[in-house]
Amino acid sequence: MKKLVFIALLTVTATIVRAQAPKFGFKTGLNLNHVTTNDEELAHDLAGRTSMHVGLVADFELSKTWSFQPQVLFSGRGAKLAHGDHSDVFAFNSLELPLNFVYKKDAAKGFFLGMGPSFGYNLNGKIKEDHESEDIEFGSEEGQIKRFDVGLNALVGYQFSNRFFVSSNYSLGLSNWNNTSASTWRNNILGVSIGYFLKK
Amino acid sequence: MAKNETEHEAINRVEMLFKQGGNVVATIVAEDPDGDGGNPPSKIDPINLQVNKTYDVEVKFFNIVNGNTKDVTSTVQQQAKEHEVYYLLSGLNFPIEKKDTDANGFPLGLISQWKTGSVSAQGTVLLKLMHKPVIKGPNDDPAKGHTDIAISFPITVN
Repeated sequence: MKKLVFIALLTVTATIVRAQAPKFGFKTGLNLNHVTTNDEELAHDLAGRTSMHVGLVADFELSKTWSFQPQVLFSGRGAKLAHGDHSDVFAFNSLELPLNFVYKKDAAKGFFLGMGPSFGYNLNGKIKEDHESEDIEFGSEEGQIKRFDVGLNALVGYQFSNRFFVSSNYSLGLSNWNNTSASTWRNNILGVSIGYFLKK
Repeated sequence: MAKNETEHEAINRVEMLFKQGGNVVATIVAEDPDGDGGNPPSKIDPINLQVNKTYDVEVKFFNIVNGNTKDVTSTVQQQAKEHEVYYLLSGLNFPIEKKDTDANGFPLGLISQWKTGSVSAQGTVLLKLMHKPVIKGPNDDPAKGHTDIAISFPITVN
């Protein structure tokens, strides 16, 4: 997996070396998290969790219509489990690194579309019950949650001429966060963001 | 919020069946009308065991509301991957082995085997049913997860 990231970064770096000076910006918005699982009992209890994301965006122009947009986001992920007499909220604070290739007819203004891999890293996590809170353990053992995950991200948005943009993305979780295959946990995110580039 | 109709209700009655050679030799009952937390249990039977004996122990969980008793053990069994029963001895010590497992092969504890030693002693055994969806592992600390019910039974071996 690390090799894959390295190769992806290398390819991207090699491509953008020839391009113009990049532009930078920031974005924030909502994450509508939706976890999928192969565990019927778990699936029955699973409900969505709404959280926030905030972070930085860079835009490297590759051609007149294509650019590479890596992002570094501080992102809330997780789910809610509704049980008979109580509910557990699984709340993860994560770093997300979506690497989107973006197509736009006009870089200064208009609609844009994008797609790319997204890499996630769970910084910490808590299970919050009605009146209790417990830290989630991370690692490679059964009963622990994995730190690292990969997703596939698709993006659509609109760039305003005043350097603001709005976008919506869907990140499809490809990794099982759980170390047991009998109870998988894949985190998908529907994101809605507003952002701003520091230059045109 | 979608409620899970297969999810067990709050547990307010626990039964422990002590068996020898397949026959029930003692039924121990505890009742905690308001469930875990809140007021202390209204009834806790003491456990009296003999030295140098092997007991097969089966635990059952019930929900009593308005005089209606509902056995929720099968629901715990059905959600075995999310549950584990612990028996924590204090003041005395002998092996308690869980005999059942969940679909992952991790311990469940609805069925256990208790082997008393040659030492006469008394103390307590804390029975805990922990609920730990997603995070259950093969060797969890008894504190991991959310407590569905916890009862401390006085126990005497002689």
